[in-house]
Amino acid sequence: MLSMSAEIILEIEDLEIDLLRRGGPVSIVRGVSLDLHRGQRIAILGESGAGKSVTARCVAGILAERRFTVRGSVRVEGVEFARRTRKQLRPHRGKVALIFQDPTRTLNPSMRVGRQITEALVHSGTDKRAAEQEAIELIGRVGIADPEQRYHNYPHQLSGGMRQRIVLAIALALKPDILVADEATTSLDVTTQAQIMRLLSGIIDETGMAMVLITHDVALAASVADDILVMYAGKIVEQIPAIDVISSGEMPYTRALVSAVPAMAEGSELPVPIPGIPPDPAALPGGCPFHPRCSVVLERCHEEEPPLLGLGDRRAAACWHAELRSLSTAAAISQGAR
Amino acid sequence: MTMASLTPEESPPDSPRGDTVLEVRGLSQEFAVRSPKGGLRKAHVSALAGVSFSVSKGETFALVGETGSGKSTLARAIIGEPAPKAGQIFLNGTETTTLRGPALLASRRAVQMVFQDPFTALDPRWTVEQLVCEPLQVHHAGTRREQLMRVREILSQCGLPPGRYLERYPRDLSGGECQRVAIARALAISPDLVICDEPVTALDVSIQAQILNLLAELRDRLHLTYLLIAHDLTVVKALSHRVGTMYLGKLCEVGGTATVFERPAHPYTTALLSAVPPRPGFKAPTEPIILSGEVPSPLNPPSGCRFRTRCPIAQPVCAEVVPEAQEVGRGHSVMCHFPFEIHDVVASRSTAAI
Amino acid sequence: MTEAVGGPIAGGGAGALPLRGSLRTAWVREQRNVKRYLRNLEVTIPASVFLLVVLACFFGPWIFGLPGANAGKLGIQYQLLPLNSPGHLLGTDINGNDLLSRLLHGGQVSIEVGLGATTIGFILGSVLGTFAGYIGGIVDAAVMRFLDIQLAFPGLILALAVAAYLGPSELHVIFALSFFSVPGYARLTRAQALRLRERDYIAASRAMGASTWHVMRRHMSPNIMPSMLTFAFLQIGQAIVAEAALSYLGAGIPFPTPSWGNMVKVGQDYLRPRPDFVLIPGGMLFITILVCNLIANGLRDVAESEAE
Repeated sequence: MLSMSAEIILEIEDLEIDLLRRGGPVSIVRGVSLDLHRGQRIAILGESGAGKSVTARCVAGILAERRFTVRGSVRVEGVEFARRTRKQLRPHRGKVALIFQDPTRTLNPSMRVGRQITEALVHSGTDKRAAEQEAIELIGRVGIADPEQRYHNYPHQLSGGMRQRIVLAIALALKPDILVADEATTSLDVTTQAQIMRLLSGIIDETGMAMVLITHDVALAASVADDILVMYAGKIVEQIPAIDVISSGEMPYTRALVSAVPAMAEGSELPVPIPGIPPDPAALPGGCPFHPRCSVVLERCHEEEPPLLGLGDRRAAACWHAELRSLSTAAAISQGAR
Repeated sequence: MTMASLTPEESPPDSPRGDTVLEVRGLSQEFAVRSPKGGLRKAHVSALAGVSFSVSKGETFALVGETGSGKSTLARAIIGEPAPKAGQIFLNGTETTTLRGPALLASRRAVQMVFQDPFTALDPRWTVEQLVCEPLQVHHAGTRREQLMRVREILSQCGLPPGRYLERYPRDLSGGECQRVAIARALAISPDLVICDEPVTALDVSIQAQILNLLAELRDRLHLTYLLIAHDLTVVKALSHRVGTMYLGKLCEVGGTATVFERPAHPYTTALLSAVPPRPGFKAPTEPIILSGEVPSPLNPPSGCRFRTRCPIAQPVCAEVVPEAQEVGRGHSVMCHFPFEIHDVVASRSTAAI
Repeated sequence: MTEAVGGPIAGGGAGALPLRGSLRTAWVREQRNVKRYLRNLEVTIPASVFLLVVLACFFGPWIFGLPGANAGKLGIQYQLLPLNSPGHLLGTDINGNDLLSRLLHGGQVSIEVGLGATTIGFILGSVLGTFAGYIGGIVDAAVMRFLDIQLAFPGLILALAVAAYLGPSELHVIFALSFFSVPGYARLTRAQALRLRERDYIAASRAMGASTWHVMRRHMSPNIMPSMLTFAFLQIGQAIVAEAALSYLGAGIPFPTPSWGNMVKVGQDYLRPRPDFVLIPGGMLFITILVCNLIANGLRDVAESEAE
């Protein structure tokens, strides 16, 4: 559902993040740029090692300062978030809320869930009594029955789906402008996932929040997001409207990723595997990082890494084939115009 | 690697046949846990309640369910980890829950399991060779030389060239490679039944595809029988001939995959199928049915039909009478008082909403 | 892991393979495992020092042709000779005994007690703990209650009483010390066993029909051993200290057999004129225990970096 207003709420420009490992720094994110509008929903699609989670944490301002080196710019509502310490970001806490995959690890097991929500509110200035009321409201808003009862529960007394709702409640408590969900529904059952996604959609419509959904599930991304960004080896390799991702991905990786999911094509049952494994960020192949696994690899792909080429109409792809195609289209147009 | 294709063949009705590899009758499992109310008395979790089904030779039977459904407990009960509290398990016609000693060891040879997490399923201190050879050693199958040959053979079949992999340790391998080793280990002793407990859940998408294809290829080549435990319905559709859905320890519906997925009889199966994000190769049987509430606690399951607390079409009788299995089609049975009625209800709701 | 201290429990990967060829590959594999640890300086350096001390104590007297520990000649010209005297590098004691010889022979005793008590305690405690942790249920409960009772008693004092009752001798000291070190090993291995018991690879092994013995020996032990070895090396240091304490209190190694502990005891009477009587054996104790702790540290660091 497209509900884009002109206001840009998140701007990432040439973001590069290195992880400091024993053998030296490893490039995890190698130049990501994107613009997010208020109310827009995007999905970042990719496999492990693609750099999606690190990007998310950087945007949320919680990247461990000592282990990561950040270059480039991340601006949330005009405020620079990259290379800022926690202290510097404190007044802007809550603008970006991040939910993780495993609610059990996000929640403090020895604290009642209601109090965990209240704490978030109190830290941002609400007084205790009002915070408690608001927390109970939030619990109800995320679809949990008997909020006053549930306020006093410990996390282990709640099911996985309920815990994730509480995590969502904590995230919403600070009225974020951007919600980043990092594989937030991956460990949930499919029916619970459907419940949570419906809940999220409703809240996003209500509040006009923007959402960044990070996932490896193509179908989920396609059903929930407006636009999809595909990440591979630390870069965005394709940008495409969600409705088109299943049928007309430009970059071979996108198409391969789609075919690798079962039941993506009419009739054929088994998914088509992608040979090889996702590359280790410390040992990226030269040229296009996908070339060792690409079924339509060209000479050029071994040597030069293709840039992300805008193809108009909310689309972009980092692939030499895409460049060739757009050049020939341009040539055809200019010929036709003669 | 060529794409193995699946031709889902509907197997005949659920009656014991000569070539039934696995038959489970009235299987129940309970765990004693500390009572949440405190005190000395232990509370009991009813993880499985009277589950019955059978798997024929060469077939892939999938058990689908969500958290708390009991599908993993069922898989482990079949391999005796731990043995079920009640019910019977027939492997190739022999009842196994009462076996002890050498007879029990012999029955273990017939069933092997592939676990969900490839890293914890392999002893980190053992080499690939030792790992795959273990079942052969435990069952004293062949001489040392024959065992080694068999290990090499099965590793090749699983896509791991022996020369490169025999001396490696699990920590040097990727998730996909580890899972291949686990599969090789399961197949080393040529079991009659391979239980795959969420074999691809912990893997990356592209690796999932590799392993699924491997499983299909091995099945076709070696005429294997699989009991597939999964929560991903698209994986089930890709690989299985027949499917059974489970909820809170009970089997809700059993039938041929194509039949059940096209027109499920049980409301839970329907809700499950409708919750899968849509894609071209997977048509949901109805509009999305969002279930209300949460899964009840297995410490105190609902009376009558366990699904009734979240069922869109629950009636008073559902609270009083436990539904029995009834045949609603060829090889298709369901435990519900109102099979198929969910479709009418959903249809009328969507027309009302317009 | 390695076959270091621990005898048959540290089964490693050798397994029950009958043919020679397979034994050789198992040996090669074990060598590679050991080499992995030795590549690490944190282990190699203290281990070399420890080895040096052991070699000096056990072979030194023979190599340097030293007189026996109690071969002192009578006569005042041989008594209390100072350091660096001709023929007596560390001088002599009140009985004319060569102090270097006494130091090295005393080292033999201290090291024997340290290694002996640790080995016995390690084997007994590990078997008990692994068994209790893996089997669980009644067996576990029984073992734990027994250990709890044992822990309730103050170890050193009881060791003292036992050693005094049995009569002071090296063997009795070893027995007493090993008996009271068992609960420590047992608790640790039990905790590890509980942790590992639920792992999938244990379930896989059982599911394919492996016997309890097979699982314990070939899966549980090799995975428990690395952390236990670290603990064991720390305990060697502890055992040596305990022996020193017992000997100092008079309930350990009896005269005239030297041990670093009783040498310190004797030495304190001569503290003013000859502080080296206390400082030298004390220094040896210090060095030996320090390197044991450093080895333990090194082993733990290697094991941790491996687990990454």
